[in-house]
Amino acid sequence: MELDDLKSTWNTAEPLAKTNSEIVIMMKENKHPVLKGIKRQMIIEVTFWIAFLACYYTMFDGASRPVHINVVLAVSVLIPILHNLYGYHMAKHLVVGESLTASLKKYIHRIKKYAASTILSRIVFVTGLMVFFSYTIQFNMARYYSLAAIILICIVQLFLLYKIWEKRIKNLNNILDMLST
Amino acid sequence: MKKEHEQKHDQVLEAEFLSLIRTHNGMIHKVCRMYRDGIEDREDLFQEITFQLWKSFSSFKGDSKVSTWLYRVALNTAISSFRKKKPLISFTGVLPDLAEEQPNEEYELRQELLFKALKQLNDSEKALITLYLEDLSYLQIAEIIGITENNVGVKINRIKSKIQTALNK
Repeated sequence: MELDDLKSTWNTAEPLAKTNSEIVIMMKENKHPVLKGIKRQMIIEVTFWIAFLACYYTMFDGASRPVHINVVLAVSVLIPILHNLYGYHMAKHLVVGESLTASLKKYIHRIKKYAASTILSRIVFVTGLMVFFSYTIQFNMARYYSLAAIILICIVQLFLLYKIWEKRIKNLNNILDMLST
Repeated sequence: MKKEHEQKHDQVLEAEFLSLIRTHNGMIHKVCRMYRDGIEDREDLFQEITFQLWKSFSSFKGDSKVSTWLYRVALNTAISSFRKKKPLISFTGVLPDLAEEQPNEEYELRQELLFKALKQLNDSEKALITLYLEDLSYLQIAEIIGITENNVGVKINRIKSKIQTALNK
């Protein structure tokens, strides 16, 4: 095929048209593939944490721990939920800008903030849980080793999370560079 | 409850939007085919683009042409939205009815060759060549991308030679 034939071949690539009812479904927020996934995840997490908070006071000795430790637990659970809401908002508003490059610039700026908040909320969550559950533990050498192993696993997970976001941001920056230079 | 005139306005808006999507159905499909590999991924992207267009449709002030706005949102969504990691094998769920429709082999082959060559481009080149193949002027492309007309010309020439090389292989 010659280069001149490109446009004519492109123009003949006409797929089956969508019906009105199919398009109407696609316009709905609750049918959106990504938003639906985030919403489902939020419902599962909120249900789990409500169940946890409802029984932690008696089952996990919440009553015997000081108020500030209970507050740490509540905050560490609340922050990831708020972070999910932030993610939902981000996925809903993908395009903001007068041109493709302007919109990409804004999107990269927002996604950098989102990536940082993802890692931060994970740190807050893990730290909060560890503070709560280790508060009454009497530490000996074996327990210190166990704690060190848990911390190490968490650090590796955070590093992997950071690498995933770094790759995605780098990819978007490359697209922006190639478009604008 | 919504007032009657508001409901009427929403209905008019929805009807206008549906007609717009039907008119540009082919372009959206081609963008999906360029940026995604599997059938399911393409359908998801089509839905994402439709959703983003609908969300900004009521606030679209008409400062630019509808088509310019549409291309900008479609390409932006294709580049920015997350890609699912899935196995490359996909099932359609229904068996094709061979007796119903025999595809034109030459036509299929040409399209296959075209999209195979286009898939070798990076995401920024795909955006530019889509607009070029949609027969937009360099000025319109420059407006959508947000670069100068000269820069568009240079980039398009570079992409064309890249495609030519791919087609000659």
